[in-house]
This record gives sequence, C-alpha cells and structure tokens, in this order.
Amino acid sequence: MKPMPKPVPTDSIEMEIERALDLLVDQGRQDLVARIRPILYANLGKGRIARYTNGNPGYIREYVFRVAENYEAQNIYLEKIMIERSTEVWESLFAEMQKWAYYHLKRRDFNGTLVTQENATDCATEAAILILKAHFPYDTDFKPWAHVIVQNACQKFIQQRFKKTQPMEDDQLSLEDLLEHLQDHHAQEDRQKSELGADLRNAMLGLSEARQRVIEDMYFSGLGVREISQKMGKSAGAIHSLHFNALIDLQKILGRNRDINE
Amino acid sequence: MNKMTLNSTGNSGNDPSRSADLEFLSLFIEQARHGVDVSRRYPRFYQKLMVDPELRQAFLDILELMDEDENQTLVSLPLPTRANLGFLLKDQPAAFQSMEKNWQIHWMRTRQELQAIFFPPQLAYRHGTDFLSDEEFVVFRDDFDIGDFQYSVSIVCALGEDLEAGLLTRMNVGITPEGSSSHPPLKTMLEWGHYKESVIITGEGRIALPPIALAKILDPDLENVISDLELTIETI
Repeated sequence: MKPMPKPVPTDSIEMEIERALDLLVDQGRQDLVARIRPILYANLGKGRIARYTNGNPGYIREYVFRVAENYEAQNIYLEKIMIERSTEVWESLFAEMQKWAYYHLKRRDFNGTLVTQENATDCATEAAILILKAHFPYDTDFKPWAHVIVQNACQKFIQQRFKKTQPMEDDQLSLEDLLEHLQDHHAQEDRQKSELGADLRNAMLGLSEARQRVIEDMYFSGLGVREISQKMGKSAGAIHSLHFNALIDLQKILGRNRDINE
Repeated sequence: MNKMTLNSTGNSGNDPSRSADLEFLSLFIEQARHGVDVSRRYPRFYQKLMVDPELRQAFLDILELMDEDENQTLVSLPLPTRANLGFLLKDQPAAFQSMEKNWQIHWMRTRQELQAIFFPPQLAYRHGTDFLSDEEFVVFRDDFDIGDFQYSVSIVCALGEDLEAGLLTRMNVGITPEGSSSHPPLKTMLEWGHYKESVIITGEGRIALPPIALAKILDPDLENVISDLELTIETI
C-alpha cells in the first residue's frame, strides 16, 4: 500500500499532531501511523479534536495516543462490523442494540410490551444502518458511540410518533442559574446566614440520600467526580448521573417552594 | 476507510447546535465514565448540558444504561425476536451483489382471500375500526421443500397500539432439519397494496417486518382490502 504523504502542517494543531505521530514513528509504529493519520485529520475536520482539547494544545498528544490505542484495540472488531459485515458479530451486536433501544424507549414511558420490543427492533435497525455508513472516530470506545446512535434513533422514532415533544416547564429556575447559586453558595464564607443558602439547604432535604451526598461533596466539600466515585463506591458515570438528577430535583423543589412562598 | 458522513450519529438535525453536540456526545460520555470531571474539563459542553434538557437527558440516559448494562441489571428482551440483518446487504460492494440466483418461488393471496381473513362474513356486524381488536391474522402460511431443506413460512399481522401504528407484521420461519447452518440465505419480498418490503432470512425464528400502514392496504373507510398480496422468496 502506498503510504499517505505526510501533510504539511498549516497550524499549531496540525504541528502538534505531527509531533505526536513522530513519537509513534520513533517507537517503530510506522504502520500504525499510516493508518491513523487519515483518521486524525478526518477528526480534525469534524471538530472532534477541538472538542477534546477544549482549546488546550497540551491535550493533542494525549488525543493522538488515544486514537492509536483505540485503533489497535478495536480495529479488528470494527472491520468485522463495517467492512466484512460479519453476520456472527452483527447478530450479537444487534441483540445488544435491540436491548439498549428497548430500555431507552422504556425510559420514555413506553410499556414493556411486545409492541415496544418491536419498536426497539425498528430503532436498532435504523441505528445499524447508520453505523454501517458512519465514520468511526477511534477517539472513543465503540460502545458509547453505538449507544449514542441507538439513542438518537429512539429519539427520532419518538418524535415522529408523537409529532411534538413535551412542553417544557418554563416557570422553573434554570439549571444554569441553580448551578450559579450553588457555586456562589460554596464561595460564601458565612453560608448558613445566607438566605439562598437556607433555601438550598431546605431544598436539599428533599433529595435522596445519595443525591444529597453528591451535592454536598461536590459543592460544599469541593471534591471531584473521581474522588466522590471512590468515596461512594460507585462508577464515575453513576456520580455524573446522581449529580445531574440531583440538580434537576433541586430545580423542581426550589421552584415548588418559591410558588408556595409567593 | 468508510465514507464520512456529515452527521454520523443519525440525529434528527432540527437544531444544528444540538446536532453537533450529539455528534460529540460519545466523546464526553466516555470521558465521564473514566472519571473525568466534565464540568471542569469541558465547561462549554457542561454549560450546554445545563441549558439543553434533551441533550442532558441523552447524556444521562446513556451513562445510566451503560452502567446498568455493565452491572448486568439490564435483562434481555422478554421475547427475543430473530434479528433481521437484511440491512447488511444494502449498499454492498458489487462483488457481494453478484451471487448467482438459484431459485425463486412466488405466491399470491387474492384481495378476496385477504378480505375474508380480516373481515370474515360471520362477523359482518362488526365494522369500522373494531375489526382488528386483539386479534392476530395469519395472512400467509406455507410449507415447501428446497433441496435438502423443508421450510415453513407464515406471515402474521396484528394491530399496533392504535390505528396510526398500522399492522405489526412478523414472519415466522421454520427450517427442517433443525439447527442446520448450511441452508442458503433467502431473500423475501412482500408486496401488498402500497406496501413493499424485503427481508433476508438467515435462519429459523421470528422476523419483524416494518409495520404496514393501514392506508397502504385498506380503503379510506378501513373496511375493504384494496389489493392482492404477493410474496416472493428467492436465494441470493
């Protein structure tokens, strides 16, 4: 195979990519570099690298190594899915996707009937077709990537089915405002005396114990997700989930309390 | 390398900003699952999670489902249907499409036969939309031998949750000798009124076909079948 010519870097991101690739070449991984270079530039064009680095060029090397590592770990499986279209691999993947779609629909108040199961099969089929056409970026594991596609297929199905989405409750305190209040609250020295602090404390009593602990740890003790995850013995994903659900609950409780006081 | 698509995650694209965010969602989900504090590492994305309930819900749903899946708390589907992997044959390279055709069988159910199935004369007092309540209709059933295999194929329809959902349709396939994996894959084409679908049979089981909209096979009053049903099965 004729190697892809090394592109001339035009900006600092491309230069950083090439520097990171040179490190892989120094490790004797020329073949790998030849394979991942087009992927990296495709990802650059799609804005994935900018999203990952969040404007910090220091993360580019990490990104390149991540793509290299994922490519080595997942390429054989991905080729079976996308190029060979192996029936054996697809049967197992499709069963997984059906299951994900079913539970996505159930979370949207679909009941656990055969009809929902058949709808889930339709959504999984839609997602499978998209996977076959898509460009896998190798900066993520395959599973979360496929999950997003299945979730989108379900969302599309629900939108088509019900034509319009549920109206938003517009009289609530926005999550953005709530977060700002929580952060301000954290910054206040004498927070017990703060009126907002008292409201928040009261509202927090309405949260489940786990959600309360996450808010306490995150905003009052200043712990990060990883530390809370270790402390509570839960996965990082579960902490993110508890955190957001706690914020949503707080939003509702504060809104309700505000209505009562008015 | 596969062709790149503008929106590979298949989101509906009504809101370009959300479309872009959904496109990158897997990146953030994976980071979150690895303990990266999304609020600190990706403040802009986090801000969007705060203001966009749909994006936030997608993020949380996937995180939670992946955790449940990993902890094996997601049970398998109660009544697993046979996967219809016909989509694997779409847009295939030419080499995959040039397989020799060995045989083809064609059946037809007339409009009158179908009318009798859906609107039996003894139930003539029923009219309007009552005709489908809680019933399953076997619109086709046949057994046939090809080579060393005996196939038993039926097509069953039932009304979905409401009229708009149309007829949920499935194909049941039995192959004798059981468990044999050497039979050829078969392409099935079903044409009925304005409905036309094809599925690939790769083995025994139940295959869900896309639902049949009632308007495609019945008259506007939903009282008369408007067309014959044609079924073709062939090797591919």
